[in-house]
Parts: sequence; C-alpha cells; structure tokens
Amino acid sequence: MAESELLLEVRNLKTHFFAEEGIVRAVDGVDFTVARGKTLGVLGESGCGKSVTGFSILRLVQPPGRIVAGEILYHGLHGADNRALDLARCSPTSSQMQSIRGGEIAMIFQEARTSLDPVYTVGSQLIEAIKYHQSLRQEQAKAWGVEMLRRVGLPDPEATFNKYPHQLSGGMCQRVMIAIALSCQPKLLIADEPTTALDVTTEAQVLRLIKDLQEELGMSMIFITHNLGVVAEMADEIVVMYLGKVVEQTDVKALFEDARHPYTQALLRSVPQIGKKSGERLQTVPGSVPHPQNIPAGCPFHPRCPSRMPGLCDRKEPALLPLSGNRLVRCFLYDEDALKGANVHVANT
Amino acid sequence: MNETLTLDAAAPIEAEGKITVLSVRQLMWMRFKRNRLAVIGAVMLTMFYLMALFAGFLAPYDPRTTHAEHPAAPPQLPRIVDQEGNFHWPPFVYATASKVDQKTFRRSYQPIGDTRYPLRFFAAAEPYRLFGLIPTDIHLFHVDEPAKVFLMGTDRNGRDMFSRVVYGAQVSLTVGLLGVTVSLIIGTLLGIVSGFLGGLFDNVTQRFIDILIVFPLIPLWLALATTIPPTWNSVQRFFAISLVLSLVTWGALARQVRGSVLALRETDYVQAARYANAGVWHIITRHLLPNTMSHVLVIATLAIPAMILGETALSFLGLGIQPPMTSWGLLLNEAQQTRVLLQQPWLLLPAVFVIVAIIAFNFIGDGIRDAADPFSK
Amino acid sequence: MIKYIVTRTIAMIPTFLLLTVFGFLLIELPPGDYVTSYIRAQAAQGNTSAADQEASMRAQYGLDQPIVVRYGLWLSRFVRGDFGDSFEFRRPATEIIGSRLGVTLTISICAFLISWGIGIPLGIYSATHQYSRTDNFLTTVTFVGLGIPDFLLGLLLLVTVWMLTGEVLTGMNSSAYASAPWSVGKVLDFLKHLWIPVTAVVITGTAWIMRVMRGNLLDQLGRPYVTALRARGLPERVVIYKHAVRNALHPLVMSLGQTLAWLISGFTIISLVLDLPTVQSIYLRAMLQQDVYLGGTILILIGVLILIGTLLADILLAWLDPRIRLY
Ligand SMILES: Nc1ncnc2c1ncn2[C@@H]1O[C@H](COP(=O)(O)OP(=O)(O)OP(=O)(O)O)[C@@H](O)[C@H]1O
Ligand SMILES: [Mg+2]
Repeated sequence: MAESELLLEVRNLKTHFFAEEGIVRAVDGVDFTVARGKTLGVLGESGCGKSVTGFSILRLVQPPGRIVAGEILYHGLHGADNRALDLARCSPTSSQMQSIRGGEIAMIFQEARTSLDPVYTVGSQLIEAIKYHQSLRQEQAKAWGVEMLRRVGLPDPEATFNKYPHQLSGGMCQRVMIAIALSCQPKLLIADEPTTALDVTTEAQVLRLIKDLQEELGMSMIFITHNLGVVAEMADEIVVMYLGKVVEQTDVKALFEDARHPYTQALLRSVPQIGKKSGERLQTVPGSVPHPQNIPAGCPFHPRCPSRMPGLCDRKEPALLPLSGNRLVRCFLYDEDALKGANVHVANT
Repeated sequence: MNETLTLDAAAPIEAEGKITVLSVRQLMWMRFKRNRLAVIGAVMLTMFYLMALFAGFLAPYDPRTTHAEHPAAPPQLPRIVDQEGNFHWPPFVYATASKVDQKTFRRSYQPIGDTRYPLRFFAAAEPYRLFGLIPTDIHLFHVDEPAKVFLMGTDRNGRDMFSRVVYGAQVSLTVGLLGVTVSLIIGTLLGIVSGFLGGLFDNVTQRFIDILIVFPLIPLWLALATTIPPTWNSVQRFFAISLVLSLVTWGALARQVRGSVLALRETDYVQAARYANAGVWHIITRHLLPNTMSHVLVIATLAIPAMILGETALSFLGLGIQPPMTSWGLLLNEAQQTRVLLQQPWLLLPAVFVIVAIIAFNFIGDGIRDAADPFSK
Repeated sequence: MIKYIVTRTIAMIPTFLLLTVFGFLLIELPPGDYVTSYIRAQAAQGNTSAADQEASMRAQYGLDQPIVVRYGLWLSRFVRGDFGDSFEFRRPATEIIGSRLGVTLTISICAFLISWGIGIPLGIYSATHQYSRTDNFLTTVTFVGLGIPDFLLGLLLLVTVWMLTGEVLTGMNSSAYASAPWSVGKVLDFLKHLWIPVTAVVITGTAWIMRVMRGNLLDQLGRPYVTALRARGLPERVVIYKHAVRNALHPLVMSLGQTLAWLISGFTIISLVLDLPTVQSIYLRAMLQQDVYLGGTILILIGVLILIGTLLADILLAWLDPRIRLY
C-alpha cells in the first residue's frame, strides 16, 4: 500500500484505565491502517476495547484512562512537509485537537438520542458544530444545517431543525447525528456501532445512507461493530479484536473465506451461513470474555482456544505476524520459529 | 445482512480463570469496602456504639452524681509530668479546689498540694449495671478521692460531662435508629398498600407525601414535639421523640416502595397476574423487597443524620429528651445561654460528638449509595 | 400556559384544605390550651388570681367551643384574610409576622444568594476536577459543613467574637440603637450583627448546594452527549458551561420550590440562640405557648409558600427544559 493512500495509521496503541481496583488494559496493542476512501471494519465481542480505540483516536478518553503507548499517525493534514501528525502526542485540550475533532475526524455513536443534548434543538447543536469549524455567519450556517438535514434524508428538514431530540425517533436521531458529523466534511468517520439501537429496517436504511454519503464525500471510515453481517456489508478491510488486541487484519473477502486466527474461525462458526448443511448446528465461541483486569497470561485467547498448544500459548504472547496477501495474524500456529523452538504438539482441532 | 446474531451470545465460562459470579450483595460490599470514607465512617460509628454499650464501664462517674465541691470545673486531662518536670506512669491528677474571684464572680480551680493521684485502671468505684443487666462496679479508670478526673469538665451542678456524654450516646445514637425503623415500617407498608390499591387512597396519600417531603423539617418537628404530654416520663418521651422524628421521614420511603410496586406491576403484567395466584405476600417478599431494598437502605441511612440532628435540636430547645435521661442535645441545652457558654465553653464539647456521628453516618450513607448504584463502575 | 397555571392552582385547593386541617390539628393536639399555659406562667410568677379568670378567658378566646366549630370559624375567617389575633401579644397574627418579615428576609435572602453564589461555582470546580486535591479538600469541608448544625455554628461565632472583641452580638441591633430611628449608624450596627447568622447559615447552605451541584454535574459529565459534544470539537468550556452545567441545574431549580418556604422557616434554632427578631423565633415561641392563631398562621404560611414555590419551580423548569410540557 503506497504511503499516499494512507489516511490513518495506528501502531501499538495502548490505552489503560488506572482504576482504584487495578489497571484495566482496555486497549493493549492495537495496530491497523485506514486507507483513503476505504472502510475499515473493527470487529469484536462486547468489552474488547472497540469503543476505547475509537475514543483514543479522537483523544476523548477521560481520566482515569490514558494512552500509555503507541502512535496514531494522521496523514490528512496538508502540512508543509506533508508529514503525518501523531495524535497520541497531541494534548487532548489543544486547539489543534479541537479542530481535528469534527473537522477532520468525526464520530457517531451507538445511542443517538442520548448523544444529543436534550435541552437544545437539534438545529442549534448542528449549527454550533458548524460554526466552530467554519467561519460562517448565522444564516449561512443555518442554511447549511438545513441542507445537511435534507441530505441525511430527514423529511421536512426545516421543521426538524427546530425540534428537540426527544421529539424524534431513534432512527431520526441517528440521521441527525450523521448530519452533524458530516456537516464539516471530515476525512474520516468513526462509526461506533451506529445501528445497534435501531430496528432491522431502520438499520438497513441508515447503513445505506452512511455508505452513500461516504461515496459522495469520498471519506474514509472506521466502522465498529460486533455484527458480522453488518461488517461484511460495510467494510473493505477488517480487524478482529480480542481483549484489547488486534488478532487478525485482512480484507473482507479473505476473512469470510479463509479466516486464520482460531478466534475469528470460532466467530464465523457462530453465524448461520447460506450453503451450509441445514442439519449442522450453530456453534458459539466457547467460554466468555474474561474481565480485562484478569487477562490470562500468554495468548489471551488460549483458555477458549480449540487449538491451544500447552507450554507455548499459556507462556508466551504471540506477535502480529504478516502472512501472504496483506494479512496479519496474532497466533503461534503461523509462527514457524516459535513452533520449532517450543517443540510442542498441536492439540487436535 | 439481516441476520441479527451477534457475538454476545456466549456461554458462561467454566472454572477457567479466577472469575466467580458475585451476588449483588457481595458486589455492594466490595464496592463499599473500597470507599475509604465509608470505611472510616463505619469504624467511627462502631466505636461510638461500643461506647454507648459500655457506657457504665467507660464513664468514671454516674452521670447523675453531683460533685458539689466542683461545679463548673474546666476539663482536666491526666498528666504524666509533675510540677517539677519528672515523668510518672500511670498518668495522675492533682486534687483541686475552687476559688471565686470577689470582683468578677468567676470561679477558678487550683491544685491543692502536690500529692499525685494516679489513674487506677479497672478500678472498683460507683456500682452500675453493665448493659443495664449485670451489676458491677468496675470502671475503665478512676482516681481516689479527694481528687477527681473530669476529662471534659463539669456542668454548673458539678456533674461530670464526660460521663454524661458517654451515657448520652445511648440516647442520641438510638433515637435515630429507632426513628428510622419506625419510618421504614410505616413507609414500606404505606408504599405497598398505595401501590397495590391505587385509586383514591393512593391519590390522597401521594398528595400528602407531596407536602410532607418538601415541608421544612424543623418547624414540623417542633410542632409535633409540642404535642407530647408534659406528664409523660422520660422513657415515654424518648419513644415519643423517635416517633416524632420518624413521622416526618417516611414519605420518601413510601414513595420509593410505591414506585417499585408500580414498576413490578407494569414490567410484566401477565407475570404479575400469575404471581397473584402465588399470593401477594410472595410477590412482596420475593420480588418487591429485594428489588427496592438497596434504595430503601440508602434513603434510610441518609435519614439517620437528619434524625440525630433533629433530636439534638429538639433537646437543645428543651422539647426533646427530658432528665433524668440524658442526650447530647440535652447537654447542649445548658450551653444555650450565651453568658453561661462564655464562662464554660467546654459545655460545647458534646457538639463534637454530634458532629462526628453525623459525618460518620453521612460517609456511610454515601458509601452505600455509591455501592448500590448499578451504573457506577 | 395560563390554563395550566389556573388548573394547577385549582388543584392546589384540596391540598391547601388538607394543610389547614393538619396545621389546625397540630396546634390543637398539645394537651391544654393557651389559657392553661397562661395560668401556669402567671402562677409561676406568684400570681394565683389568674386561675379565677380561666372560664372567662376561655369564652373570650372562643376556646370553649367544640374543636370542629373552632376549625370552621378559624377557616372561614382565614379565607377572608383574617388570621386571628395572637393571644400573647393581643395583636393580629399577620401584623406580628409582618413586623418581623423584614429582618427574616434580609437574613435569609442574603444567606441564600451567598450560598448559591459560592456553592454552585465550587460544585462545578469540584466536579470538573474530580479527585484532585482541591476536590478532596472541598468534599471533606462539605461533609463537615453538613455535619455541624447551623445553630452550633452561630454559637461558636458568637463566642469567638466575644473572646476577640468582648462584644456579645446577639439580636439585630445593639441596645443603643434598639428603638432609635434608622440612621447610618444604625445600619452599620445592623450589618455588624447580620453577618453572624448569615455566615452560620451560609456555611451549611453552601455545603449542601456544593454537594448537590457536584453530584449533578458529575452525573451529566458521564453522559454520552458530553462525549459526543467533545467529539465535535467544541471547546471544553462550551461543553461544560453551555451544556453540562445547564443540564445539571435542573434538579436545583426543583429545589428552588422549597427555598421560598425556607426563607421564613430555615435557621429556626439560630434565631432562638442569637435572639433574632425573626418569624422563626416567634413561631417557636408561639408553639411553646400554644398561641394557636399565631403559630397556626405561620405553619400554614409555610405550607402555602411551599405550594406556590412548587408551582413556580414547575413553571420555571418547564420553561427551561423542553422535555417538560405544560398542558
Ligand atoms: N472509564 C473507564 N474506566 C474503567 N474501565 C473502562 C472505562 N471505559 C471502558 N473501560 C473498560 O474498557 C473495556 C473496553 O470497553 P469498550 O467500551 O471499548 O468495549 P467495546 O468493545 O466498545 O464493547 P461494546 O461492544 O459493549 O460497546 C471494558 O472492559 C471496560 O470495562
Ligand atoms: Mg462500545
């Protein structure tokens, strides 16, 4: 992938929460890249650190949380030397960060209604964001706001403009959120499970809308979800996360045809697929996610892994290995050196 | 696309790792223990209640004994260094006598002689009944006559303030608990009844609670306290005061319980109907009370400091506890007159106990509230 | 809106009647009546002839009627604006209350403004700097402030001032100015006395308001919309003051409803301790003396202020919070 096509590079990102009861390693080594105009899907079970990853990029993690390591390289700014900006090194309260938030990188959330301030009209919240990023006069901002509401497919945008969040349905609120997020034409949109709270029909409409707008504006997207079907629909590339770590990164087609990491394989088995024999039972991933305070030693997935290798997986942590076809996997099964060195037998799968 | 299976549907983990499923109560206890202030509050209160329980043992004198030779004596702490600067153990006191200044009419105390009277620990002195039952005369510490040990001074009748404070704890610290218990009973009953009955009864009760909740406490307490017949003896009065204190605080509890009843009826009407066959009592004890318990607990704990304050205020005004019983508020009553207070500032010392007790209860109440809040981390 | 206010006012009538019954009962419930306590007081002064007047005094005050009749009479006059006379002062209850309203409101409004003025900013600071050293300090101070009864604070201040200056600042005016007409000197003297009760009330009040504000704001700051606002690149100042604080104020607006009644019923015991000529101290006295009409009028006045306060708070909140609609 050529450098110029990259918009965002996340390298070895670690975000920890220093809670009273101990350190929560919510994000503990996340690497991925987002290409211009493309969508990266982030997939993982609840609590694996997807949202915290998104918040980290925008530097929205509040104390006791803190980015403890890693780089977040943003290539979207046309600086003099065209160098990337490391967001991990910016101050969260700096004006530079403020202009990036919403202006360069925007975010939409799971619960649209609670993500809007209940005491202001959606219009005033829309204008507020626009005015902070573009020097527009009140009427211009308002006209632009109404235009945005029209573009996200809200009926009667002028009337909606003066409505309060509680007067709108969940789907309409999410459209408003999208309008606010896209009103300043960001280059990257982080969508954190934007459709989880919606019913199936509305979900499909909103996904369609996001996709259309993305094409129209040519922006990149990080699409966070725990829904395999949705990620298949939306993403070009996918990273699979487990307990704060990326365990596999690959393009969407390869993921569904030829998943490598045992966790990804287990995930895929838990989803009904067309073409499978109807008699075959759906499987769940055995066990559940351990609490991030109790991360097992070695490979964090080994207690639930069907192909774990005792003596190796419970001792050492696998690194993210490049495999052929631009994919990355964090598993000893693909690590020739480790396999030879440890001289273990593979438990039958 | 339109399959909705998500990854969250995972089976619970088996014995793998150290993860155990905690009951709500254990979880609350864990969170409570982590709250430093709450633990401090709990420790302080434990000490206070032990003090009340072992009052006879801790107090060197009977709270009613008047030391006629020592009226309005200032606090006298036992010393370990004598007038020549020599160190002594155990601590000792000097005997004192008072002198009244002819011009200012102010009384002052001076040591007489340099005989040291050491503190005798676990000494036999005035008889009392431990826990009100076991007759004994062992006190934690005492000194031989004619010396006296007045840790917190005496009042104008020469009664030892420390002993009175220790005994006063018995009243001051129980009046709130008793009051809360009564208001728990009234509140829960009324809440359940008005929740289940609904209709006019519910309506009238709710309107009444509307006013009660926002009505300023002190004027109401005052008005209610004046209704206690003056002919009642001090024990009857003690119970009457708890009742007065409780009457004013059941509103919030009733509201909470009623809310839970309504929620229970609404959440799953069919299920509720099925349970109705199992009996109202079953619903109440199995479903309603456990659900609403933590909220009720929080409201109750946070009501106790207000009640202690109420008792203090009423007794301070002479409308609360009556002698021969004693309470912290009653002790402060003697400090009410500015003139007295200016000459015997130590009469304000019982206030320290009131304040510490209230703060401790507030710490605990906050701790329980944070621990019970399901949305806190 | 007007329709809402009218309906609410009409709906307040039964509550008001309930309140009068309740108030009347409270005053009637104590054993004996004003005449009994009057005779007792006279006897204590060695005047035994008062006992002979018992029956005639009862008839004079209408205390020989059955309780229902007395309530009916009282209420009917009440509605006409005649609140009855104080037995003790032989003057209309309203007149006595009115003459004390000035001092009462001066103290309470000062205390109210100062404690809200300090408490809200401190609460905001505490919440936005959670667990910082200042926050921990303020939280501790809050707990202490809430633990100390305000009347003890008043006493403490009084004693401290006495020890430092030798002056005893009880009441609202030194004896020199007590019956003098208002002058610059008297105003200064008044201010010199005013600060003691005000400070005592302010300390408790500030602690309370700070705690409420801190809790509310922390609650708001944890909400998703705050994260969303930050994600839009709004400056922290806008996120906090324009949005979070605005939302956090709503529960306080509700408590404003109680504040109206508090203005004439807070710091009751301070009034007694510091010998302040306030409505509260006369209420206390009336309660002790069974001065029915005076005590009852004040009690019901408090209740009425609560009803009005709640209504005003509801209207204010509806105006502030678009989610609440008045129909
Ligand atoms: N403020 C915080 N303090 C402590 N721990 C936190 C905090 N915020 C998040 N965490 C922890 O970080 C972990 C990851 O949380 P995150 O919200 O990123 O999960 P997620 O993958 O987005 O899950 P979901 O699908 O449920 O949204 C969780 O285990 C959570 O307990
Ligand atoms: Mg999430």
